[in-house]
Amino acid sequence: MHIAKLAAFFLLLFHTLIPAQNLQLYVVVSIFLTLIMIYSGGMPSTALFFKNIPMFFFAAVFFVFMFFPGMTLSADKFLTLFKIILIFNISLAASSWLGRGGFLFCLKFISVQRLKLFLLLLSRSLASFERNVRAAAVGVQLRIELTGKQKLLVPKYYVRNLIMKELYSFQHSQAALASRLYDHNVTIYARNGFAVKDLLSVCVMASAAFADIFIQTANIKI
Amino acid sequence: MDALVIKNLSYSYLDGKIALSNVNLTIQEGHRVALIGENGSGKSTLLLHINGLLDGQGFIEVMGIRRAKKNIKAIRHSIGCLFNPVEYQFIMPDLAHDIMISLPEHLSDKEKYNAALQWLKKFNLEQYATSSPLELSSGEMKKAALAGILAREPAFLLLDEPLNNLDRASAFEILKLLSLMTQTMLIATHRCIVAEKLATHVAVMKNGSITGYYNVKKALSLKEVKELLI
Ligand SMILES: Nc1ncnc2c1ncn2[C@@H]1O[C@H](COP(=O)(O)OP(=O)(O)OP(=O)(O)O)[C@@H](O)[C@H]1O
Ligand SMILES: [Mg+2]
Repeated sequence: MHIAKLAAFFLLLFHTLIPAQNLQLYVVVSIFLTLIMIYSGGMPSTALFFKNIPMFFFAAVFFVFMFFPGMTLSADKFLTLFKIILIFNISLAASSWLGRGGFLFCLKFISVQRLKLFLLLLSRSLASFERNVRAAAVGVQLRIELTGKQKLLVPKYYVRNLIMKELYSFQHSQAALASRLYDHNVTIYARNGFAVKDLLSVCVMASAAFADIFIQTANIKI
Repeated sequence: MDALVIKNLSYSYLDGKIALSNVNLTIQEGHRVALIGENGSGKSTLLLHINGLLDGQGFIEVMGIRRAKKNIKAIRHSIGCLFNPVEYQFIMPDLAHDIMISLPEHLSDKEKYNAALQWLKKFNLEQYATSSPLELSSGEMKKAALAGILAREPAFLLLDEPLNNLDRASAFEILKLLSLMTQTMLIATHRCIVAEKLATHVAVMKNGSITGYYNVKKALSLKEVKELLI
């Protein structure tokens, strides 16, 4: 099942990367498939929102530059923005869709220990960063009553603290690696789960993505 | 044999703060030593030195192995260390796999997985085998980390505040589990119960040095020791 899911995921990624001939169809299919992945992965919409915060910043910066004097507005640029946001969300959705089992399953095929460890630590720090962001949001609400302008204080102090904390945590992770993994290899026993829901979503995703890739590249007019 | 010998160990952090000054400590094999002292007295810093994660000036010998760059693996092999911010101790994305990295290399993946489940069972955590360590409560996290360390069966245990965040029942369970083991232990703690139920000796730390080392019976009769414990 993990292999089928991975294949569907890559097909979807490939779909977002192809040049779109029929724009409406392309956009609809991409969003539709991403939504399937998000909802069958069981990611709550609040989590989705929080994880998308960096993308809001990114889009904001993008718009600032778009409306710079001398810049030309074009549909192409919006399409690129759309693709970037889409790919981000596909990767996000894939992480919960593939799940921890899927992640471990992928790691199994990596034979370079260092790369394995790097991926493990990366996923770990992303998870703990997200956890800390949520904790900080609660902490801020408890400690100060936010009214209008005061909201600006939050990024000023808490974001800095948060980043410092993450940097500091690398030191701890390093200590953990040194003291727990001094000469051992990471071994993985990936369980291969099977669910009808997964099979259905894989089939829908793979066939829709495949069909759209075919339509887009063959430039069939509908 | 002495499990741990430390002579004239001094260390200051990069910002110049002197954390250890002239520490001398000898622990015999099989002894369980409670390391007590005020906040900031240098307990955690000392544990990090024994594990070879910090490198202050001085002499350290663990299980007969002298501290030196080429010996660091051998030293770490004999030590299991429970750090204080425990959430950073986890390496793998789920609990079962996190314990698997501590199991002997010669086992097959499946055997390791089953052995890991056994360890989780011992700590009443079997329902979390496929959960992320970061999704546990702080007490469960502590137990899971401890399981990961004990699974390697190290000869020397360094435990930094092992009972923090544990509920009463879990704390007693873990004390019982630890007290049945024969390993040498150095336990940084503020808890009276650790001294009473687990320790054989008590070492007192103050301003970065060891100021006293007593057997537990003597220690519990001293005012200076009692004042440091809750
Ligand atoms: N990473 C660091 N950088 C700079 N100074 C540090 C660092 N870690 C600890 N210190 C300082 O070193 C001293 C000893 O700290 P340590 O963590 O060893 O104390 P402790 O005895 O474990 O205290 P606690 O009972 O609160 O855990 C403290 O004064 C602390 O401020
Ligand atoms: Mg400490």
